[in-house]
Amino acid sequence: MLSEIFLTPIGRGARLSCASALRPIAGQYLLAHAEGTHQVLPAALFVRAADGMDLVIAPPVPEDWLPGTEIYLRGPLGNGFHPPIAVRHMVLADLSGHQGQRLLKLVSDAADTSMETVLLSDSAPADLPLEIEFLPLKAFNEVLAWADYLAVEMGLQQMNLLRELSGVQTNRDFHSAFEVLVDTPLICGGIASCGVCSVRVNNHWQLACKDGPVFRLSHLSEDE
Amino acid sequence: MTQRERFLDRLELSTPWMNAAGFLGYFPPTQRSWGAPMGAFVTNPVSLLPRKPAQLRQVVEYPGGFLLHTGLPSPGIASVLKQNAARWGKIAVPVWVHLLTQTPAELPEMIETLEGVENVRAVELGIPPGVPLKTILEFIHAASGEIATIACICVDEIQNEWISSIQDAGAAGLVLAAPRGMHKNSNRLTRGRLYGPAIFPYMLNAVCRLAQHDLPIIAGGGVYSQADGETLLEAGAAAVQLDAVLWRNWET
Ligand code: FES
Repeated sequence: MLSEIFLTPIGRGARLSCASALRPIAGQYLLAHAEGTHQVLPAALFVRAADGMDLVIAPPVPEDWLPGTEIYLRGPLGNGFHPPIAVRHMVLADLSGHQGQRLLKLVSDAADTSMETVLLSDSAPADLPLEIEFLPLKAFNEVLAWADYLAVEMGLQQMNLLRELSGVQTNRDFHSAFEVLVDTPLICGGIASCGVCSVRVNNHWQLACKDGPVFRLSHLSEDE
Repeated sequence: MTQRERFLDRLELSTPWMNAAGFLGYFPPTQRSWGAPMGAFVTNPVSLLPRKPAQLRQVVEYPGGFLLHTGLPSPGIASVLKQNAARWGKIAVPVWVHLLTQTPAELPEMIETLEGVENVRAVELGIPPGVPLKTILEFIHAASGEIATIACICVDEIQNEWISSIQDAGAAGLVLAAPRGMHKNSNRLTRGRLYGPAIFPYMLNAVCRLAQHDLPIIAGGGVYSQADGETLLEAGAAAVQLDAVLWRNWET
């Protein structure tokens, strides 16, 4: 059940109280549908934090969801982030205008509490944990030299911008551990193989809803 | 026997409910997400050769529905059959293979291949948009064989006076597929198929108009509740296809 809605500059976030403990890893998603609303397609929800049976959902959630609404969930679905075990310097970068909120669970999931984290984005969430340093996207290249792990969220159309910000020529030049959450519609969760979420990976078509939405940056093809 | 009973009997359908092509993949998922049992499984569109997704794939949501543009990617008939032909033989309901072709010339080879596949009882023939009746009839003739042919034409394109010709050409039924439309997304006009409860009144009107003919009509969109589906059946639809409603209400 949806227990709380909170407003943010990029839309409404939510807290869900679940009947059973759902534990998506960062980058995995849940497909959600609220009975009795005008929602036609299920919404893909990314968890920002988990707290017992409660899940804090990164904004945006559908506009007509209200506290008390029963939400049907399917998942966790897809392939999430798999950072190396011993990350010391983590960089989260958001090029899709979500303030990095879909990436923040990487920090709470990390085993090493001494890990340092930088968030690169257009703007920072108001409640960004103090241990995460916020920098604007123009600091990308400088921070990348420091990172031993990079997690990006972006749409495929921002691939050129990412290469430009990172100062790399091709996707293969990215460190093999660096990962990307592809911001794309996730509507059928793979049931239909509808193809709206198709992503070209290692010169083959894959589905972000099943095979992603997280991929190795160096595996994304440039010839789509 | 009513027309619907004859249709269900001929195509060995235990119920008039089924999925629309493109909404359950190439093999049905095991979990059920609809109140009534399905009478058939309709595959995703299958092309002769592999088909890439569209360059700009999009979904545009608007009140009451959504526009979907994917380019209808398909791995091609050889790959689809390699992965699914044996499995289709084991499912409890008949399989309808939705064929996606650009010209009638592609059909005989595909039909011949499918005739050897167990449990494939019908081909649903996706007719390209904007073609005249003459071309529609060429598609239907080219698909004739041992497997029943169901023509699948957008509800916004079908005309009353075409129905008897489509039946005379050998179609066992006609799916009224989701209409095409346009919407604006990120400052760009996008064309695609329209889905959602907003098209239900349009579909109901078309079923009432076309069900007066002898050709069985299958309502292929706009159904987001069992009551709406039953209304279409009462209005004369021989069967009802479900689309994105099948993507929700799954158990955790
Ligand atoms: S969302 Fe339909 S295949 Fe990925």
